[in-house]
Amino acid sequence: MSAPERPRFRQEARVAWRSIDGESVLIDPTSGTVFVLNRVGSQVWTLLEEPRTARELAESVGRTHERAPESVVGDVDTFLADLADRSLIEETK
Amino acid sequence: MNRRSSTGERIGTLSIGPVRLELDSDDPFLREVVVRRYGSFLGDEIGDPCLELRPLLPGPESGSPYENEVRLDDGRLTIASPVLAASVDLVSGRGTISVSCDPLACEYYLENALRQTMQVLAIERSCLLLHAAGVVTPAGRGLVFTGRSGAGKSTISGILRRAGGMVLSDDLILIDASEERPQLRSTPFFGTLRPEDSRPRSVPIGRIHLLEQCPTPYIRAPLDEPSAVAALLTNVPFTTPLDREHRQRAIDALARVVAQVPVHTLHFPPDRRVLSLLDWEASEETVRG
Repeated sequence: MSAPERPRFRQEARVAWRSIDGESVLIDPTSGTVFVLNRVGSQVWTLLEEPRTARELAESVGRTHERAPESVVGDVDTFLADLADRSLIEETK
Repeated sequence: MNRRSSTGERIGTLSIGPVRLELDSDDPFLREVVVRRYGSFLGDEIGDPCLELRPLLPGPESGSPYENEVRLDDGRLTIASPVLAASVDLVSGRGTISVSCDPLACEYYLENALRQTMQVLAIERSCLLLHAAGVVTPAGRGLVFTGRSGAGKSTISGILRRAGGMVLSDDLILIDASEERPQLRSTPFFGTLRPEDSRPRSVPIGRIHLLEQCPTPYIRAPLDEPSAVAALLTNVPFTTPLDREHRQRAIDALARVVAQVPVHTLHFPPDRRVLSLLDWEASEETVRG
């Protein structure tokens, strides 16, 4: 039996955003609320220009900060859930 | 491009720096309203787009005249309410604004449409209308004070006017990021404090302040650039209909501004003590060291 396919996420296409000085400024397309992501959040957000799994994101963040992916995947999951709750990302096939 | 399709008689071009909106109308009342309210900002240059103003015939619509439905789809800005119907094709540069000619309220309905339209045009020209007061100090520095309604824009404008400052607007200013050095431009859009000299003016921006009323005056260290952009974005009005491209342009314009201009949170009591926090008498060269 094959392992279940992991969900992949990417930026919601209508979110306006720019990277400024290593951080990211986002505008929620529905409410107009403005968010600022710190450098780690910004790294994850930028990677989400393409569909990614939480595991892939954790590996990238882990490499940057010299941490094992297992030690950061929980934080990445929480961050993705937060972005999804705000409809800033969407799950892709 | 301006492909003059309007059949109305030319009134003039409403200009705030590089943001130019040509207005025509055959209706004598609407012509008089525009000239009376915006006369000092009307010029002879060609504007883009060119809008024809028409009287809105009374219809069966009901609802609040102060609630507009605003949309920006495929380069067309539309504004609809029981007292207003505007359609501006930003690609062809043509459009119409039909507005109720209620003698007591017409100019307010019309200004609502003009503010919304000018914001979209501003963003397309690397500028932004900002919900803010703009003041020029006696030494010629341009100071911006932004904040939510009730934060104290008119209050601080009054204090600084009495201290010899020139208030460009206490409600809505143009931030022009199209210039090498960001400019503060006056607008014909003001709040409770009517400028004593409401002519077009422009001055380099020396400092931007986020207003917080507080019994004890103090000023915080400048915000980092992303936080400054985010804080200013929350005070950019008329953004509801903007699409992703226009919102990104707005972020880009503010990013250019905050890369050159410090943004501080200013806690101020409603009295002259605030002057000491603003380097009120100093020139820009002195402040920048």
